[in-house]
Amino acid sequence: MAIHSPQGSQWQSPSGYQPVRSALEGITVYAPRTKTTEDIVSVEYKCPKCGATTQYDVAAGGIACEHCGYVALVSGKKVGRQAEEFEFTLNTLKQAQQGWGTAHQLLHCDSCGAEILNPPGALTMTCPFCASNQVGIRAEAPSNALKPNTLIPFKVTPEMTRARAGEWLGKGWFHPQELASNAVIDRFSGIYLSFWTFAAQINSKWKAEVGYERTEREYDFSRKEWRTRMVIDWRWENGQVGINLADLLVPGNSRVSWVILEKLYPFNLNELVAYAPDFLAGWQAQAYDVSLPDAWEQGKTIMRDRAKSACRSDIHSIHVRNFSMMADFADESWRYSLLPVYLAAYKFENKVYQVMVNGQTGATAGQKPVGWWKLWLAIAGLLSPGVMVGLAGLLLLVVVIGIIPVIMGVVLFAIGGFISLKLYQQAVASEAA
Amino acid sequence: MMAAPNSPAAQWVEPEQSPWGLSLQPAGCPLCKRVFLVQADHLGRVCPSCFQSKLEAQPAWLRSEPPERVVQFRKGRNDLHQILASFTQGVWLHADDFTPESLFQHVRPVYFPMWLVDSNVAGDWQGEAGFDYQVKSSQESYHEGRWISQDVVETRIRWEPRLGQLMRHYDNITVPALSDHQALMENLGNFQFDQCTPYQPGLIGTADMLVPDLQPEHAWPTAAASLERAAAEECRQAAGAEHLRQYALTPDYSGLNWTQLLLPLYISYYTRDDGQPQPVWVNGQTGVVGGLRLASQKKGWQLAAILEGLALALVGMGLLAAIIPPITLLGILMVLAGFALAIIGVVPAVWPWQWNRGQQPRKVISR
Repeated sequence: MAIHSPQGSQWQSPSGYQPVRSALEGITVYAPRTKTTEDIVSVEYKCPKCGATTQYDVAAGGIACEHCGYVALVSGKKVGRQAEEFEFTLNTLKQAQQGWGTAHQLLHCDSCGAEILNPPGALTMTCPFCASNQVGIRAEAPSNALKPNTLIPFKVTPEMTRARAGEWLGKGWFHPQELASNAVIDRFSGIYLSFWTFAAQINSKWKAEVGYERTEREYDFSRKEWRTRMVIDWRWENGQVGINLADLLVPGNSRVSWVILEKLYPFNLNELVAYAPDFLAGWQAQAYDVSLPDAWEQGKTIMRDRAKSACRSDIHSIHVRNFSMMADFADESWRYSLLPVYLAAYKFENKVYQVMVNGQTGATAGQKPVGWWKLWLAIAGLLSPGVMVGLAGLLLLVVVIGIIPVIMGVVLFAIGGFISLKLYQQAVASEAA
Repeated sequence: MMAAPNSPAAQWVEPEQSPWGLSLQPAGCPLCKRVFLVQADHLGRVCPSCFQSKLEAQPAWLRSEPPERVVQFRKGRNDLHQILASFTQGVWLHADDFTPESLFQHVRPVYFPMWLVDSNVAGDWQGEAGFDYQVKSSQESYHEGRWISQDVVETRIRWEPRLGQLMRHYDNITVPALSDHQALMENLGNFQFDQCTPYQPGLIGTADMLVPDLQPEHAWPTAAASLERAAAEECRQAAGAEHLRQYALTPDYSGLNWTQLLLPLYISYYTRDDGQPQPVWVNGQTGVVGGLRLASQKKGWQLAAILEGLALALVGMGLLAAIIPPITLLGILMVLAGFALAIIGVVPAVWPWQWNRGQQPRKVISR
């Protein structure tokens, strides 16, 4: 029973605490102050000296003004792989289903007062009327946890990207020779893409029939000689394997090619810094559109396959059958980060191809046209020895000794065919996005 | 020892006085020093606490206010007979008076007291509030080339600091009023305090009443701890948390009020080998019975002596018979039977010792 409300008392709560709802009259409750969505507001970047628009300059490592040369260094708090991770609470998963919404957001430019429609998921904006840069994570995100809390700043300058791309285009023998010189690359756009990183401890129990080879000697009565043969003894075995998987990256944007993106790996996650809007000034940034549950399904598929590989490598024999396992996930956690990527497209012989550059390491990947005539020639060259030796063998079959060349021809054809198939797959993958 | 903020007033009640509208008067046991309020005709009867001395009229130090609440006897005499019958079952070589009838004959209804404390509590509190949340985990099984996924939902606790101010009033916090309250409760089990009724002199009937031997100033540390526990529970509720730990309160107590709650109890006894009474307690509300169920070592020795004597006689007669040829075989059988009986005769000597060693206060819950 409350004797009287303490609201009017002179009691001062400690700093850093804020009153929260109390379920009982006569008891006040204070909780540590937390950042609310209202705390994160749109930040506008203007030069304090000349008033011109500023942006994050990779080379300078800070907010720079192109007009007057003003530079303010940005020192993000380096958190690396120790960055805060979140659990898969039912609440978060429910909220994560909502994503960032699909509606366009009406943003107000603090500089000129214009109202601008921003595309869904865009975290930054350059006002088309006054060219001022705005960075703001809006309250559209379903919860604070589902806003990016870490990022890797760009290390590769936009100027370096063109050289990297040119170098990459010149690589590989089955591409058109004039590719490096004739490809017209559009401007590289630096963009922070969303990535989910997952971690989990997986304790697996496996069971399988494992075969062990044994040589057996037996007497062949028909030939009247001893012969050896290999037999496999099968026996049931089981075991336990524990693996700890950390920082598994799964892209959070479905509109970019994951095939190309994965070729840009790895990102050095030791360089992760706490999210600060300064790093995004003047750069594009895209919020996730692959929801956390969907990304986690992808991550889980990769993780369980790794657990399966770990179990298989626990078996000391190549002969395995009736393999089954149970993978128990524990301590699962996730993190939402922004990672730097340059995107560009280039034209070659009136076709458009994508190219990406890892904004941290400079690794380059993309689509490359294939000089198919080169490839077919190579495949023909690889298959011809087998065909020729085989044909020669067939001709020589008349004089009995031809059986050996026929066998050699078949073997050579098989080897040539295998290498040709690999080359073909590589070529198709090279053009695919 | 922490002093009670307001020490409540008590007064001497003379032997001939009847407090609280009752027809009971103070009496004490000169041996166990227990003080009771008993009917005048109960004076001179055996003490319902130690069963060794007789109650004598004596003055008592009592609070002027009557008890506030009473938990009434719910178990009547018929129930009691059944409870005692079930309590005495299965003890071989028990004392002569360890029977339902004898225990029933000795039984005495008694009310024993607890303090009911009312207080205002004000102060600053802090602690770690624990909030339950659910986490989704997975169990993946691979069989015949296919993965089967199963979601596992775990409940975990998120701990967050909370603090604030508390100004609440607590009513009827129960605090022991007897120094051996804990031992008594171990024998009696819990009472359902929510079934208590407001005190009326007529509710006491012919029962004796135990007088508190822990005065409020001595019971205060326990009362303060109980009040703090009640405050902690309310702070947890106020914070909307499922758990609370590292709780600390800097309390100020005011408006303290001490009254009594009376709890129903039947006390009986049986006699041990050494002639001392062995008490048996029955919870007057729930029927839980507590006390040691001892076997009589004396009876064991007696039975063993009879059996050994018989064995000796059998062996002697057997030996005599064995030297007379026509009944030699019978003699040998008698000797063997005598030896067997001698061995069996050891059992009653050892059994009471073994049984009594394993005796713990037993609780029997009546139906």
